[in-house]
Amino acid sequence: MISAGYEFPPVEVLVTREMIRAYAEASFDFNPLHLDESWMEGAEFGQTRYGGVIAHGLMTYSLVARMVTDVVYPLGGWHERCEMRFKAPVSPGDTVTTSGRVTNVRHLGESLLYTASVRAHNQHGTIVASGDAMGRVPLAL
Amino acid sequence: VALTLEIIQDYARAIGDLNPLYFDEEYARSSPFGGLIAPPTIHVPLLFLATDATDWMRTPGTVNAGQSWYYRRPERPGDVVTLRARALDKVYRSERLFIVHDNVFLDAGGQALCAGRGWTVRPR
Repeated sequence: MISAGYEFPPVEVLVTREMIRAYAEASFDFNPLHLDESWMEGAEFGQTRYGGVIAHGLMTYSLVARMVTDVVYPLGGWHERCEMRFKAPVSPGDTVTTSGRVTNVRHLGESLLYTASVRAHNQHGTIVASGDAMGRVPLAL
Repeated sequence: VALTLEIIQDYARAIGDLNPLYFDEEYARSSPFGGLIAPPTIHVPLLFLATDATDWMRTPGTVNAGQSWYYRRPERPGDVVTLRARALDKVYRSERLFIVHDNVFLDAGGQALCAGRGWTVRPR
């Protein structure tokens, strides 16, 4: 089932203020960047302006991991590596959609190793995060 | 930090991930994992639980620029993990200060559970 060109079924999430708060509470990351509108008004980030609170980059990263584990767990596999760069902020009201495409597979012992190119974009088609993932699934299935 | 089922399930719910491997003991026991596990990204709450809110790494306004993690094995409820964290490097780029973080989580036997690099932009 997993072979070069395979596309992971996307995970699509409407990001709300409530979701960002719930993520802050579950991850114990209470950076005002994600929670405090008035703090964000006064904050400076070089040339970048966020215009309000933004979602945690690691939330997007975790949604990508969820996309992968949804496929590899039922095969007895494991999500081994993931590297992503966060390229654009995710704001409340944005819809984040993940995508992933297997770029290469290799047999190693009883396992199939795969590499995949992974991304997340918003409702405007802007890439908010992109990177690579790697994992393995057992061959004997 | 002791990883509890509550931490695992709260985190899974927050990313909308209701995989039975995190919630259904019976299902998980009959799976290749042999019991309940945590999502690979459980290092996120563990990192913040393992560091004090006043830690420099958590300065308000810190922006996450990128992450790269290796997951050696699934973590499980009851795991007691230790974080070894350090700043590897700092780089100025476009007048912004980037820090490269190196984080390793060890199990009770001192074996690596997962390890990662993070790139953050420091507030001015």
